[in-house]
Amino acid sequence: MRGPRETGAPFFGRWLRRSLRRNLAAGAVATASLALSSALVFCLVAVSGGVEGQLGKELAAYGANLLVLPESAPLRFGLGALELGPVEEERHLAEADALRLPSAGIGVETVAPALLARVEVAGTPAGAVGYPLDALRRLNPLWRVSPRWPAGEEAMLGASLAARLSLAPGAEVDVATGGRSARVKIAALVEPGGPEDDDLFLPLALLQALAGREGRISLALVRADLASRPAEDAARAVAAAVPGAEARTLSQVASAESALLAKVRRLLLLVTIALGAATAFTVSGTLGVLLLARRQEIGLCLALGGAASTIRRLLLSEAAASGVAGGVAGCLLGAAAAEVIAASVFGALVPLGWAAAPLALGTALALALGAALWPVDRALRVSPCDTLRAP
Amino acid sequence: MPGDGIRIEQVVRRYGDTEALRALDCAIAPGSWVSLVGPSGSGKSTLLHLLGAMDAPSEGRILVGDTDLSALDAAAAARFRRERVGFVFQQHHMVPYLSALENVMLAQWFHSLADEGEAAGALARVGLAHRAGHLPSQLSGGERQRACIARALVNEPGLLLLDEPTGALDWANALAALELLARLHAESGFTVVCATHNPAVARWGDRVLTLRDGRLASDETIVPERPRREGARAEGA
Repeated sequence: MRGPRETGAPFFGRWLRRSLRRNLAAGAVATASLALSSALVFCLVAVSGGVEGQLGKELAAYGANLLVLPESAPLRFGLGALELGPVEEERHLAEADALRLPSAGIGVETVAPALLARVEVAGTPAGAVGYPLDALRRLNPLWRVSPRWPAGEEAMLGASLAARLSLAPGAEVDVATGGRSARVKIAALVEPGGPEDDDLFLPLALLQALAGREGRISLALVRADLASRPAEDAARAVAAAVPGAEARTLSQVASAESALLAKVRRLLLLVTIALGAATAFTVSGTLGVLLLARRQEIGLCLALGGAASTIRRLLLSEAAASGVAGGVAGCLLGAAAAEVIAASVFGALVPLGWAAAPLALGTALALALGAALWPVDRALRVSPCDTLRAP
Repeated sequence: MPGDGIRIEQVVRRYGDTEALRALDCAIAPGSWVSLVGPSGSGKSTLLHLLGAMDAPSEGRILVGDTDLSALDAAAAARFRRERVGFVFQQHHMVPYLSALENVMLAQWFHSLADEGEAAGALARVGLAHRAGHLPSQLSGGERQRACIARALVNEPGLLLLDEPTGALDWANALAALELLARLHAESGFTVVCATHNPAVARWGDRVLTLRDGRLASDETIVPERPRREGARAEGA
């Protein structure tokens, strides 16, 4: 009986399949460790994306992180707890350009265009800031506004200015500038706790009409996503999207946010590394024990003239198969765990970043191969004379 | 393939302070069947391992054909084993998860290429064609030993090393294995070196070397005594 002559590779595959069938069950502990590790990597990567997203949302409560100004404009008013220098009021930007930022695909989440003007409130000189008040509210949800945020044509007074003018919510005052005036209702007092306590907050369109600056703005407060890019890069992208503008990072907010996100990432990375190391030790120990039980088989192969490199290839292929099996199981387990963790921590499902899957698989494979190197090398140092000697 | 001649020249093998072989000298003719006998610890297995290039002498040299085994590095020794030597061990070691056929193919694959037809033919020569697909755990001791013989000879080695080849078999199976080996030896002409405690097994060779304390105590050329099993003639063995 003569069969087809095989090349080396097909017999190796046959040998490997038989060996896997026999030894994969014995290596279940190692595979399970790899699956656990892979699941946790998957989970960490998937959930860390969610953590950063959630942190981003919560950090948004601290206000804008970028300020868009006409090029070379000096600063004057207090805005968002930042001390700004004098502004040359002649320099303006087009409001429409600023409003296009959220749809420009550069990570801008919220824009609050603002016009600054010197006005008289009930005959007293004061600084006025015109905002779309809903955008201002989205940027500053932690501001203490009482009794409620203004609506429509209503205005809001900084607490210090209100005290100076003895005005309370519900009062109506005359606001005048450049020969024009309007009567506005004070709907609320605001106490941000900074220089803006001295400002009058008006609807943007109203101040633009009073100042004769329709469609023009002095600056825009911008909330950009800094989880995916450094603040300086975001500022450059925003400046490029608004003609005649420059963008500055509001360094206190931006750097605090970047630092916090960096710490979260570092923490997750350290946990992953520690876990990987623990898994590598477990897998290495388990494989060491398994290979000890296969000393006779390895010695026999060496005695038959099998090259150490061939036997190493078999044993490492088995480890790789264990890594792949553990990795796939880990991805499935990790996906389920990520949803459970996200639901319990954030009260919402995390959109699974499938980028986590190749990373988790790759980690399991690398751990399996890395952990196998030493025990395989040690197993191949066995002397066939010792393993095959008759008892 | 004709058998390899062997020259053993002043071979010493030390393990720490212990000398397992002491200045051993002898020559073995190509195609002969030499039995190594002696008490435990006399150096039989050590000599067998040296002849199979599984170990290297501490001093002296061993020539198998024109190959100086003491000059081989690990890779060359492995190549020598797969190309020139067949081993049969007392415990009839086999890879436990491969069938009898695949165990034979494994030796072929180490040598060059696995050929299922040739491997099946080798099993047929030892009377195991019908058990080719069985795992070692499904074979009797005698069948496992026959599979090991098929594996040892499938690459047509010039030297067959037997380490207590019948030690784990009852006498009927031992005789069957020896008859098989004698028939294949007569057909192929390879050189046999057989380490054994059993004088009856030793007498199957045409020469008996007795080792004692690592030295050659005696060297006898004998007329082989090869008793036949009952019914062996009828089997055509």
